[in-house]
Amino acid sequence: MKRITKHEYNSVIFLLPRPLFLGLGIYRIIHLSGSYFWLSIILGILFGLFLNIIFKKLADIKLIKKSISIILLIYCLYTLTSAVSTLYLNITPKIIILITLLLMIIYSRMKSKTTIFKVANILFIISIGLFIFTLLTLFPLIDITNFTSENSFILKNILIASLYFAFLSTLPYITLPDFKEKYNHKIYLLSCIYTLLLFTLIIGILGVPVASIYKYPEYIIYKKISILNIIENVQNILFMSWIFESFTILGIASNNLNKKILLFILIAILIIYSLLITRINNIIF
Amino acid sequence: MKKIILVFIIFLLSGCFNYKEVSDLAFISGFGIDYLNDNFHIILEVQENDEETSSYLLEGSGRTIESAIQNASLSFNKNLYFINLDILLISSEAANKKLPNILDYVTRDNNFSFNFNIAICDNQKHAMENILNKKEIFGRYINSLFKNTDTNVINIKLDKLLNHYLNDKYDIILPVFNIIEDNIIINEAVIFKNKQIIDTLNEREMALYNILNNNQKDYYLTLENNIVFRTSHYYTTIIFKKNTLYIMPTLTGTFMEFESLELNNESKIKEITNKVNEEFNSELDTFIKKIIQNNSDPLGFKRLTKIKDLPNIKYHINTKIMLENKSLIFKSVGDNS
Amino acid sequence: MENLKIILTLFKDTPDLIIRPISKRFFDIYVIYIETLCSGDRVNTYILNHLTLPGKRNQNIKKILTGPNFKNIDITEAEKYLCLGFCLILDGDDIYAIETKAELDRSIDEAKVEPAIFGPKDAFVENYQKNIGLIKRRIKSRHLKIKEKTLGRYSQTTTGVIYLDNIVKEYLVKEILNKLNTIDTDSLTSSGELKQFLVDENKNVFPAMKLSERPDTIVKSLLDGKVVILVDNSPFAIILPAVLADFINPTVDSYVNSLNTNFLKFLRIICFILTIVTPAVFIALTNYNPETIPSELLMNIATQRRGIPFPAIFEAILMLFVCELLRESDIRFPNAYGSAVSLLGALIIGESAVSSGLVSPIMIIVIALTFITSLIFNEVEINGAVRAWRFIYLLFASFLGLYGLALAFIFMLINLCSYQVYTLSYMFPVSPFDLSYLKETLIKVKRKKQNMRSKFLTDNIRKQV
Repeated sequence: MKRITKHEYNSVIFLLPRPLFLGLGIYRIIHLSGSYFWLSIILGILFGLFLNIIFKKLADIKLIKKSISIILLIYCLYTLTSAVSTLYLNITPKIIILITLLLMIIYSRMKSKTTIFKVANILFIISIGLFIFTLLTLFPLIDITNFTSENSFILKNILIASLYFAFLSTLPYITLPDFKEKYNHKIYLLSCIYTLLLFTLIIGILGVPVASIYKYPEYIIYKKISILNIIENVQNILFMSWIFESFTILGIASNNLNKKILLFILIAILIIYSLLITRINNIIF
Repeated sequence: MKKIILVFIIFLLSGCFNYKEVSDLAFISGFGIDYLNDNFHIILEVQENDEETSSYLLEGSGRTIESAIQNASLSFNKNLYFINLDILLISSEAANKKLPNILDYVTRDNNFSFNFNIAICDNQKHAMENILNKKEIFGRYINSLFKNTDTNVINIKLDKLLNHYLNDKYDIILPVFNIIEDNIIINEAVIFKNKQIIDTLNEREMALYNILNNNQKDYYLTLENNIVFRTSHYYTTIIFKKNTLYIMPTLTGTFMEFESLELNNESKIKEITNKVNEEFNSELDTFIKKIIQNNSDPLGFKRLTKIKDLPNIKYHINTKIMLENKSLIFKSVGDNS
Repeated sequence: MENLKIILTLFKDTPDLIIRPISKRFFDIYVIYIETLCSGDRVNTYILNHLTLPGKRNQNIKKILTGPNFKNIDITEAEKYLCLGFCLILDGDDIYAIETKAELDRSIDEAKVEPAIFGPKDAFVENYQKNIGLIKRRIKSRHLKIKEKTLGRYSQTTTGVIYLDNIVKEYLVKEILNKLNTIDTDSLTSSGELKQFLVDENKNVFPAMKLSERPDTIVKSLLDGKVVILVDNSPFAIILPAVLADFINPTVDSYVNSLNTNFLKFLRIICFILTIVTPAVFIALTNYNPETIPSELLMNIATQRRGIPFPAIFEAILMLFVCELLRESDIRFPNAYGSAVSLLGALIIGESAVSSGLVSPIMIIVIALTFITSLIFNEVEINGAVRAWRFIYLLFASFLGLYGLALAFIFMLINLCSYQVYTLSYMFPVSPFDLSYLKETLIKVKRKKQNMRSKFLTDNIRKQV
């Protein structure tokens, strides 16, 4: 099976727009747009559809593909290790989490290029299942009073937030192979509706002022799931869907690079990271 | 083969930093904070699973909450584990001066969940020891006390409290534990505003607050000739239209106790329900006047009306009482006709 | 005469070589056969009866002798035919061979390894011809083709590659035949050995081929577009290629109602996941994230683990080791001594390990759950693969908690998805998503909807003549 089937490609298109929101993205958008998040997201979706058409042409140029792959690789590694370090293993040194993640990326690069698409097909099914579970358990907890407008309508901030959304959700698509032929805008819309539902859950349950003090509000809403007082505190299991999505993007970005260049970049990341820890005393993020 | 050995060595280097043995954890179910003389005094209740002692109490003090907790854990041989926390008690001194610090500590740590109750209690050690003498665990006892729907306690958990605290348009309301004859009774609630306690509510007022806030607890109303009306469920809508606040509660319930009344008679039923209606209206009126005059806002009137000074507000109450079922007997037992 | 001398020198020290001379007019005819391989009855009826009758000796041998398989051979092939059980007749310079094989195998019996309650109970035996007969009874079509080869220098085993030529893909048959051509070994005694030649072992622990002893399984897979290899002297046939969904799903399901079987299929998939993941999840939850477990249960676990000196991972490895020992001893021990051994095992695990403070009771429940769910699979190779992955998950989870569990899951997915068996991906109905094969393995639908074959396995997707 050297070719990529339609289902696998579509599942990758579904999974990719979300992982760049981990950590910094959701926090920024809520901070900028407040309770008018729905407006900025809808504008962001429209802008994103437009951006995808531009990216279809840009995806053919190899230099842009490789450079954006490298940027996405570094950024996603950074956000994923910070997220895992604060939420799962807070005393373990970050470099160990980084090393294990790098090993997994190297292993997936050693296999053929179509493997990550098949893996994404199965991870898609799992993350949809987890999301339906969270929707069903968290929807009754939404408080409608959290949505009414409490802050004033600043147009500039809302437009900046929508631009932010558009870029974060469409930038990973440049790294896909054959993007021009196989791109399907309906799947992108579905994925953005998923993100919109996630935002409504976050703001509906926590409210705008509370959601803007947390670093990872998408983790905090999972803390509120409580079924029959027995199934509680399942946030660590449900958050794994974000780890899977981030891994998909790492795998696809590393597909575009030569094996030796990839090894060189990853070892460089390790060395620079370990040097930075000893030199810089304050935490960047 | 070399690759497998390399991977295995990397795993061994990971050091298991976050490894916690279950038998080394001390499960904390009650946490009390007091603030005297620039020092935090905390008291912790640690759960044990023995038959003789159900829990221990630990005390400690320090300049910050974290140093107080370290002080308290010096005398105990296990790691303190806060995830199953059931109740957080704050004294009124601490609530007046240090509420933001307490909320910051509790929100910043990943080891606190959202599911614990918060209350104000001044004599924390006495309260905890009372329950320990009954061989029960303090946190669980309070948890079930809050869940008991027969009583009208105001139950507030951390996420709601945080929402109201960070949001300027609400005032925080917290229940108060009073100790009467070695029993803990929750019969008061206080309203906070700008780090000051501005109002207290007694039992009947707490019940009315619950009605206006749609927390489904029981409410009963007594008329003159010992007729008691008890609600089974209620629903309130509050709308702001044409510069007046319309408050429209709807109560459905049954009659629980009465003398000399026939429920087969339609006109008599209407008479009684009208009486209940009037009585309820007057109670609600006095309650709302009281909170408006003190400029306290636990229900969010300022958010709805966008008026900053509450005493200037106009309101109108419109209740509706519905009789759901007539209970088991037609005539009252004490009736001779 | 020279032929006779050559044969006598070739088979020098074989006491079971019988040479019976029958005199003709001018010279003798020699009837040569190996006694242990031939059946005396058949030698008599086909050959000796006719040759010893008066008046017939002088006629042409070809016209007198009966016998279904009659060949005229060279002296170079004499060794081969004698060892196959043929009876040679030396008539001057001609050598004739007649088949007179003895039946040295058992009769068709019930299936021992894959039993079925409602279904045909006959199974393959060690005789190659009987096995092919059992298959041909079920597929009565001219499209069923067999290509035969003999493998092994000393064993000269016949192996047959069976397929339906209007359904199967041609490159599959060509590749398999190419691989069989390159086999160079002393002996091939069973189909299990042949498995190791056909697929490279180092790629993956999961098996790429299915062994089966029931003819109805074989027939179903032939009709799907797969290739079956039968080896002489082995009651198991190899089905190529096999994907993960085939092992989780026995074919007995097609004899029962579809609603009932869907529940059982769902149960089997859950058992497959549970048997790999359970010890790892338990260790990750109790040691790294105890908040997920309800607090009452957590208090109980804390009191149970109080007196145990080992960390949880050592307990888990110890109990898994003991369970594997019990399983191995159960297979190898003869039935006569069976009950004492199982009693000893139950005592060891049940009472003594707990009360002596080696293991905590909750760990025994976890390991027992792991083991019971692994009994669903009766293929030895799947059990071995599951055991390896269980250990890997345990390692990851005990070093890195739930994050390690997520990593191990991704690791296993990459490993499974990159494995290809004759260009068919191992996660076949799920990963290159194929509804028609999914309907046959992982879910069961009504008969009316099962009317297409899978397009990844065959080009002839419509089920028709």
